Amino acid sequence: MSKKPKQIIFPVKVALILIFPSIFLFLFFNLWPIAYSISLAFTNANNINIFNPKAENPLRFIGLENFYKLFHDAGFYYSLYKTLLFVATSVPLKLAVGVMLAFLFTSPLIAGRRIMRGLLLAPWALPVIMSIMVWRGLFDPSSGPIAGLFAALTGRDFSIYRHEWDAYLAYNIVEMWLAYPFIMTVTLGAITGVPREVIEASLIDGAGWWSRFRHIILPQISRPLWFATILTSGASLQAFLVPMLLNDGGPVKIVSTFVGKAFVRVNDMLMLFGYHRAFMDGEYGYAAAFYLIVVLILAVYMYVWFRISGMYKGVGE
Amino acid sequence: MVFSPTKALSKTATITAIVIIIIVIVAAAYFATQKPAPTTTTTTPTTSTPTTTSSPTTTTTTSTPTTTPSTTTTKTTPTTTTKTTTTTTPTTTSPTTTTTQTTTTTPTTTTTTTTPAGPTLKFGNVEVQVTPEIKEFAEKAKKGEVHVTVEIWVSVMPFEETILKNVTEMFMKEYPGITIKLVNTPQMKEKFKAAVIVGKGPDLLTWAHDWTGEFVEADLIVPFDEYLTDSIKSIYLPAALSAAEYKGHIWGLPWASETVALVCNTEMVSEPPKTFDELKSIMEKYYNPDQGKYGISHQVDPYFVSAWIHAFGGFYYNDTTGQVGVGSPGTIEGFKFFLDNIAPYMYRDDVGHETQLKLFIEKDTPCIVTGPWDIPKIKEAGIKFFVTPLPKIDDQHIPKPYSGIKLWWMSKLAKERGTDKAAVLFVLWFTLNDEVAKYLAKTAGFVPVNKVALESPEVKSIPEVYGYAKAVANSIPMPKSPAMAKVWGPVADAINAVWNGQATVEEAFQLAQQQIEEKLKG
Repeated sequence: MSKKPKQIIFPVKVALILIFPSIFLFLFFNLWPIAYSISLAFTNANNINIFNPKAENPLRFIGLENFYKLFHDAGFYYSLYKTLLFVATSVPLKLAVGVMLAFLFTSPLIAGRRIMRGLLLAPWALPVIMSIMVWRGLFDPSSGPIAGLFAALTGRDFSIYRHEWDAYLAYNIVEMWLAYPFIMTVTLGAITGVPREVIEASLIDGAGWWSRFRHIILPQISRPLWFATILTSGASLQAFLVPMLLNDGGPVKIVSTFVGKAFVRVNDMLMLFGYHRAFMDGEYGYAAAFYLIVVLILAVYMYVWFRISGMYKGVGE
Repeated sequence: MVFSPTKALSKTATITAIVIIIIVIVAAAYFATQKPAPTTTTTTPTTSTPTTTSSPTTTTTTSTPTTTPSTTTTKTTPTTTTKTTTTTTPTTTSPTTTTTQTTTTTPTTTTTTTTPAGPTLKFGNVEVQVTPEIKEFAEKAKKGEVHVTVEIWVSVMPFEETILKNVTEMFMKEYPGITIKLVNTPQMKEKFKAAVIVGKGPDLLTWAHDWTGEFVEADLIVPFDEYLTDSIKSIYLPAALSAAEYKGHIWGLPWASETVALVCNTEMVSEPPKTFDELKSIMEKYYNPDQGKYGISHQVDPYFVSAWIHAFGGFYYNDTTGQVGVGSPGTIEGFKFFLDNIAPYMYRDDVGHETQLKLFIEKDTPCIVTGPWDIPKIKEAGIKFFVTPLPKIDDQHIPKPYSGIKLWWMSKLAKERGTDKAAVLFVLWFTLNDEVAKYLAKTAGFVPVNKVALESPEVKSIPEVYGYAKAVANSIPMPKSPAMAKVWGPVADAINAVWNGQATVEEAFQLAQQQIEEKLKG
């Protein structure tokens, strides 16, 4: 009898000692910065006073003032709207292209599909910043071939620097290009897992290509695809490099919302908005408050997705 | 009894984690709010505010500590001032007058008369009085009796880095006791701020003077006052030195100036336009968008359009009064002038630096409004050009662009590490030495602010440097208050919104005025 409880308690203590190094490292490299930035959200920290106690307007606790300011900032609402819109358009685009390419390159009708499949993964292998800069050149209003093509198609000038929706279109295209290899790879993996007998049986039953895709293959690959969708929509929600490098979230226009008029960078996605507040305006406290809200939005968004998709099923049971 | 070590473990771990998280957050909040007022024990914010705000004002009142000019040095000041009054413009640069060329050596000779008053040092052909400590240190450094390494940060293009490296080598040859470590640092401002906090930053750094206010307010740099004498100060252009002054101290020493001017391709424009109407006819002549030809290359941002705004009495921010002038009638009128008289001849879809410069280099525009930084690229492209100040609109309306004065600042780390004397010696040598200024002008087109160099025939014979020196004479140094960080953004937004047809000039500039005032308040 006396042996049993020892067996229960002993491993816990040992376990705690054993995990101490990793807990310590976690605290040091993760938790401290997180806690520090959360605490900044309640201060008036800016580029002048952050490490300078002698500043005219010294660092101090200001309660919820940053949050009050944030919810009265037209730019915040516009940024939120633009980001959600971007998720709504770019995610289906990425999925459609990725899945389509995956199917195309598993088809035995295409010769040399292995090599082509490898080549299609190029966007993954290239440094992101470099590829975005190349895209920026392609969209350049004066010399870019894509800009020229769009201009010829629409009959008006195409400028990512001057027109809100031209820039938005460019973001979608670049984001799609950057993300499709991921979707394609996940889908390819899932497709190879679909048993051939099932497809053959459906063929014998006289299913066309659409019903074969819709009722046989799609249900089989839906779980990995859901997973990829959630991850890639997270990437769209956190779009930063694409808007920043293409045109820095511009152009600017005056936006009137229920909280008043303000200058707004019309394509300032959430992440970029916070970056501009911190490093253009030097308002660290305000930016920290903003990112705190963004974290909450992301958490809710991810939670909802996981619930809808049923990804939680089987986890923790 | 159910045996479940995992459950017990997870419970304990969860509770521990939650407790630790709470402790860390509370600790972080505590430290974040404690830092400003270490003397006050409570974290209450309102009480700490007045006590700490009073401290910077007290430090500024006790200004100018150890300049102590002797009676003989005051003798030199009138002679140098009479020399500057012979030039046409009181603020800056003598290149407009040719008579001063003969008086090139006057500053040197006047300073040599002060020799008995105190120790002097010779930098190139310039001999100035220095403080005894610097003199003593310089002697030791020359003999190699001291061994000091000075780290200096610059943020320049690769070819400029090579040139600056050559200059530092010249210095090290003269003063073998001092080793200069030059580091080219992109994103210098942010890196410098972070570096000083961790104590691993440079001793010296250089950039245009407009960062001064922010560095001072953030307590990152130390003033040069105690190392300066009147004879040193008299070598710099007064306007250049004034750009380094903030709250009664001199925080940096100037070595070059830059502003925008009109650069034209001599194949297309033979004579520099004297008036704006002449420029307008040039623009009209070459404007042909169907063939991809335009009248002028001009970037559209607050810095570049400032010339036209200042021409009509407008301004963004007044450093001395703290007044915001973005929505003022002059500013609006100036920007409208730009929109009506220059914008129509431009390529308007991309007004960024690269595209506008490319248009000029590919001979699609006859002229470009730009600064000395683009000259190497223009030269490289094999374009023959001249540099002239922006032409006056009429006698009342003269375009005055913002100018930047390149300063050397000394970080407070230099003082803490005790490398300050070596750093000061390097800066004095770099800024006072006319040979250095001439070399920099010749190789990289840096426009000198050293009077001796500026009046030398070598510098006058470099057309672009001479052209920019004339433009600097008609410029306004950028404001150096840290408040400008809150001004540039909204002004850029307003300009961008108008440019893209999203708002009228009045609407945008008045909204910008309102936003800046709100930001400055809170």
